[in-house]
Order: sequence, then C-alpha cells, then structure tokens
Amino acid sequence: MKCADAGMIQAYLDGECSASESEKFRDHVKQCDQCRLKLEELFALEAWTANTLEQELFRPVDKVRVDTEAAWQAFSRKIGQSEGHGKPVQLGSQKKVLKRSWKDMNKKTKKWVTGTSAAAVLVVSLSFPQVQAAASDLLSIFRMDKVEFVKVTKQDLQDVEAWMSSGRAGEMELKGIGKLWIDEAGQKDKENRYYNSREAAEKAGVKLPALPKGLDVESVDISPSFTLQLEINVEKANKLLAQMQVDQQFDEKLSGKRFSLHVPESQNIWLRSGENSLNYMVVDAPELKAPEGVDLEQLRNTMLALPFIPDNVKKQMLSIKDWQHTLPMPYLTDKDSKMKEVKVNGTDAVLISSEHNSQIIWQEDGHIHMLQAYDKIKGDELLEIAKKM
Amino acid sequence: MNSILVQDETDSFRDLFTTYYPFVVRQIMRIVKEQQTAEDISQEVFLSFYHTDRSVIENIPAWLSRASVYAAYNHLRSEKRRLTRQEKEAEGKELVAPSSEDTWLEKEAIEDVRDVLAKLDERERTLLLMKYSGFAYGELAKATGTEVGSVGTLLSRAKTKFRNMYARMRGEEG
Repeated sequence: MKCADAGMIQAYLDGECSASESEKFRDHVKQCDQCRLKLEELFALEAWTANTLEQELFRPVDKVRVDTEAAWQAFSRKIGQSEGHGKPVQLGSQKKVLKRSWKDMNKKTKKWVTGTSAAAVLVVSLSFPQVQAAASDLLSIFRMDKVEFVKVTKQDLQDVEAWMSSGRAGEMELKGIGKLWIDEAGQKDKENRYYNSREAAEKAGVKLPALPKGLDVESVDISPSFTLQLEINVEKANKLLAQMQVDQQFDEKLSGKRFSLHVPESQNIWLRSGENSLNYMVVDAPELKAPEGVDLEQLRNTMLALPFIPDNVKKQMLSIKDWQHTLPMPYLTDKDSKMKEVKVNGTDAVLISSEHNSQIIWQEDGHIHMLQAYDKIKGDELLEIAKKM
Repeated sequence: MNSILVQDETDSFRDLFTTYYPFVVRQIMRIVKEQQTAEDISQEVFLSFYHTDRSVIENIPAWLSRASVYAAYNHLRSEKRRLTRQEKEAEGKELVAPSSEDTWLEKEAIEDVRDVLAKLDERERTLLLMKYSGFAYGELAKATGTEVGSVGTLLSRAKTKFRNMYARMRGEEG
C-alpha cells in the first residue's frame, strides 16, 4: 500500500473505511513513520475538535428545554393559514366540533360543578355505543337516571380541556381510531334560546317548574339537546391500545358502528331571591344506546383504558358498579371546596360548598337538578330553598 | 375518503414534527444563540420541510440538519447586515440584550465556537455540525453536494481551519 492521504486517514478514524481497507492501513502504518505521524496528528485534531464542539457547543445547547407541543400548535396554525381550504378540512371541522362540545357545554353547564360535566359527558359518551338509524339494531338502551360523583382534580380537567379545546390529544389519540362529533341534524332548535322573563319563556311554549315563593325568574336559557357520537376503527384502535400496553381490546363488532350519548334539552333558569342570584338547572337524564351483540362491560372497560381519560377519573368510574344507569358526575376537588351528602325531598343529594358559592345536585323524576348560589346564600340556606323546589 | 387521507397525512407530519423539532432547534442553537430566534427559524425549516416532497428524502434527520444549518446562517447573515446598518445609525449602542444564556458557564467559549463556525464557509460548517451530530459520510456528502470519497479530506481541512481560527481567537482575547 502506498502512503495514505489525510482524507483517507480521516475516513479511517471515522470508521468509514471498509474492514479490509482498515486492515491494510494498519499494516502500512507499522512500517511508515510518515503515515504514523499523520495519523497521530489527525487523531489529535479529531479528538480536539470533537471535544471542543461537544464541550463548548453541543452540550450546553442540548441542555436547552424545548416545548415541542407549543411549537406544533404554532406550526399547525401556520400551515392552516398558508394552505387555506387546501389543508385538512377534516382537521378543521373536527376541531370545531370538539370546541363546540367543550365551549358550549362549558358555558351552558358551567354551573354544573364548575364545568366538569363536559368531562363527565365526554368520558361517559366514550363508554357507550349506539347505532343511529335502524331501531332493530338497538337492543341496549340505557337511561342514566342516577347521579354518582366522581372526584376530579383541576389537573384532570385541564387534561380533558387541553384535549378538547386544542384538538391536541383529539388528533393524536383519535388518529386512526375514529372520530368524535356532535350531531344536531333533525333538530328544530339548534340554537340556545334565551328569554328575559318567565312570561316570555312561557309564551314561547317553555314549561317552567313551579317555584317557591320569594323566587323570581330573571331569565331562562334553553340549551338544545345534542348527541355526542363516536365512531371507531376497531383494528386501528386495538393497535393503539396494544401500543399503549393496554390489555383491553375493542370488540370487532364495533367497527364502523356509532357510539353516542344523547343529552336532552336543558333549562337553565336564573333566579332572584331578594338581593341574591341563584341558578337553577334541570336536565333530563342522558340516554345511551348500544349496538346489538356488543359486550357493554368489556367495551366500557376498553374505552376507559384509553389514554386520554385521566387516570383518576377512570378509577372512580370503574368503581361505579351500576354504571348502566348511572351518570358519573365529576366535581372539582380543591382545598377550598367541601362536599356533603344531604337529602332533598327524600332523595339523595350532594351539597358542595366553596368559599364563594354553594351548590346542590340531586335527581328527581328522571331529571337532574342543580341549584347554585353565590356569596351571600350559604349552604344550609340553599338546602332550604332546594327543599321547596 | 379524501378528507381521511388528508387527516392521516397531517397526523404523520405531526409525528415527524414532534420527533425532530427538538433536534432542529438544538441544531440551530449551535449557531444562533437566542432560543426564541432558533425556534422561529425551526418553524421556517419545518414549513419548507412540509412543502417538500418528503418521499424523495432518503434520510430525514440529515435533510433537516442541513436545512437547519443553512437557515440558521441565512438568519445570521441578514441579522449581521441589519446590525451593521443599525450600528452605523447609532454608534456604540448596546444592541445585544443579555439572555438566559448568561447563566451558562460556557458562555465565552460557546460564543467563540459560534464565531469561528460563522467564519468558516458554508460547506465546512455544515460538515462539522453534521458530523458531530452523528451523520455518516454518505449523508455529509449528500448535504454538501460532494463525493463520499472527498468527505474525509474536506473534513480534515475544515477541522484544521477551525482549530487554527479558534486558537487565534482565544489567543487574541486571552
């Protein structure tokens, strides 16, 4: 072998030479002082450069923390803008749906234990199947006419909110699995309706509950019913589950079938009692339907195993035995709020008090009732009012 | 059906983004010191990545690495022009705001390394940055438009130049 040039030695040092080339070069170096000196020199240069770049440049930079998620949000906005309608229509509409469910429900039902019903409805809706059209397919229909409480922390809510409002986990977790949407087709009143007096509401045909003396209607919000639907691709969903190392699997019968939760129309009445405002909300028990032949228990467990449902919600939902008839209603736990079990007209109710408001939730005649007051009316007083409802 | 395909494509791009974004940011920060600036440049890099026919890219990290180095230096060049203009307008004014980087112990050295890299030519610094990011000669050759056979030679030259310039700079300061 003749003497090697710097490039060849460099390649040798970088492990870019073939085994036989390297072998030849090593043999050559043994006899050639010039090449040995060159090798040593280049080796020193290599060591110095690697060390300098590594120590002074790469390592400090590698310590930098990068928020990839925020960057992706910014980026997806960017491609959304620059591509106009050429870009994912599906993405856009899906986001809108997700937003609608969170935002509207949050607004409408904000008084339901600080917005947690959105999480409850979502979580519940994910646990039940429905076939939309042909009634013959429908064997399992459940009305959730009991209320059970699930403790939810702010972090849980943020998790769900982050998913729903950003579409983040929505895109990621629902990717390939299927889609989630709210179907309002066939409804007469898609908009929220608002009446600024009892008379106006009744004139429009809204039936309001009788109210005890001393309570006046200030305004009424009617939220239309809606159906939250989910359709999954079982094959992909099961792959995801396996990937997430979740043991549960979806029943193959579910592929392409729709799941849903139907939430009936709700009334949200603002009341005045002297100087104080109260909020009274009545909603029918949500209804769930399942396609024929699906093992609901298994399905529910599988859905609950999905990664985007906060762990601590899952656990509590799993501990609810009579789930087919129960709407788990999360309430927010923080150090300022207290929960107490009480009775309203003989039925179980829950009184939640925090520094600035208190609320009572109970269920009667198939309706879920929610009464909330602020500041001046304290828990005991609110309970008295509730008993008169 | 169509929309589903589009969705899938977006999702897979999202995966690419998530996987390589930190890598791109760091690669750029080897050249540009402000993280915010580096992230802005990273967005541009991904934007062009997004618009590129990715099926013809053989090695995605290598493509991104090269694109990052180029974009970062493009930024430095235009920044330099801007600074020069401003310096002429307002002589002696402090233009570089202190950053969180001040907390880095390596600050001086890191600045010197960056300065030296900036003085190398484009091919040399791309070779160095990519090599020490772990790319093989094949990728270095592709990224710099050279033959695999000459990568060794080019590398050893770039390193020699780098060492000499670095020594001179440290010498001048010390």
